[in-house]
Amino acid sequence: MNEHLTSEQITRCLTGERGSAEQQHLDDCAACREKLHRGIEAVSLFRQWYVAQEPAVPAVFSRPAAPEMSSLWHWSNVAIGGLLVTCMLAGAFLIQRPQPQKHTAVIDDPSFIEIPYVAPLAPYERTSIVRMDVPVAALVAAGFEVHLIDAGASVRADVLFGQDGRAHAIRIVPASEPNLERILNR
Amino acid sequence: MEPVATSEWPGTGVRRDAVVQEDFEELVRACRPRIFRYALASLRDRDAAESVAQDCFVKAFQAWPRFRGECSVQTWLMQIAVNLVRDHQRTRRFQFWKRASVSAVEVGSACDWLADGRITAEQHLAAKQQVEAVWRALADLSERQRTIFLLHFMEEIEPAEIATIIGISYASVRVHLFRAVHAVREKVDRLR
Repeated sequence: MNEHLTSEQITRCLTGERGSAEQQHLDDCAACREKLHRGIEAVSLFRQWYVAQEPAVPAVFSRPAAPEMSSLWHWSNVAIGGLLVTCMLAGAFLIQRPQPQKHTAVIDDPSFIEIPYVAPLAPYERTSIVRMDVPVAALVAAGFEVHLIDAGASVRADVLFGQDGRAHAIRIVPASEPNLERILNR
Repeated sequence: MEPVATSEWPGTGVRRDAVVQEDFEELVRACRPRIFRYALASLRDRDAAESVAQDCFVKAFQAWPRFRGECSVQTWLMQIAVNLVRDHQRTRRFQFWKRASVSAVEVGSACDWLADGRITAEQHLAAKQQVEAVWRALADLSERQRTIFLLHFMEEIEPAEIATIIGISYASVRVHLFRAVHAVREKVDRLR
């Protein structure tokens, strides 16, 4: 008698790929037939269990009211919807947010005179106003035309300083200046 | 002689032009147990299997007008079921907290399902052990191997038709089937 069938050959017999040589051997060899029968029996028993399984819920089919979505599709839609709503709310918040006040209000005050040739204030730059005695010579140096005989004199003024310490505008305090129009000519 | 065009889907008793709900209900009654059993053996969860079977027919109902009859209606339904089971398994991979499902399947007593009721208690036990061994072996198979094993041995679908259902070549089906059967045999042989 030939050698016994290999495990692979018996598997092939089970899957329906039985050749004539294998069939011949199976006809003659009880041991190999037994191995094959064991596999067939196991599959057959499993099939008996398998076909005995019945759905618990009775088969009632009703027309679906709306197209059914898979849960993944459903949740991806929810996520996209949530993202859109968040974006819209964020956009609305940014549009509605009050803009910070620029520090041009003081310079816009007509009593303040902008010092020429100074870089303008940055939009949100902190400023401070200092009352001080400003030498007339400094006013002349800053580019103001001063009609005053005594160049060594000084005038009391409110000076607007930027964050970097540079003076941006000046307001002459009227008490120290009897005739403002006469001194400063814009 | 001219071929006679049958007005029914073979083996279902359902009219080919059936779009009406009554005919579809007939199809559900005829095919639902097969779909459920396949889903149950694949997912090992009764609730999930019920849900896949239901989803399968919802999808089939929606796609019914587009079904051109290029394959049998059972093949078409099984194709939908295979896709649904695959989707479900992929989704479940991320739901690790649900792995210990309360509706998990148990083989149960052999008396409930053995066709021959005359065998002895020892034979009952041996039969149960063999079924459990196959059940365990199926759990260790890859998703594709398990599907092919179930379709071929449980649903008695030929490899060529399985190739159509799964969308792979005939040769690949044969290879997967061989590996699946070999793995099952090894598990069963360890019982002896």
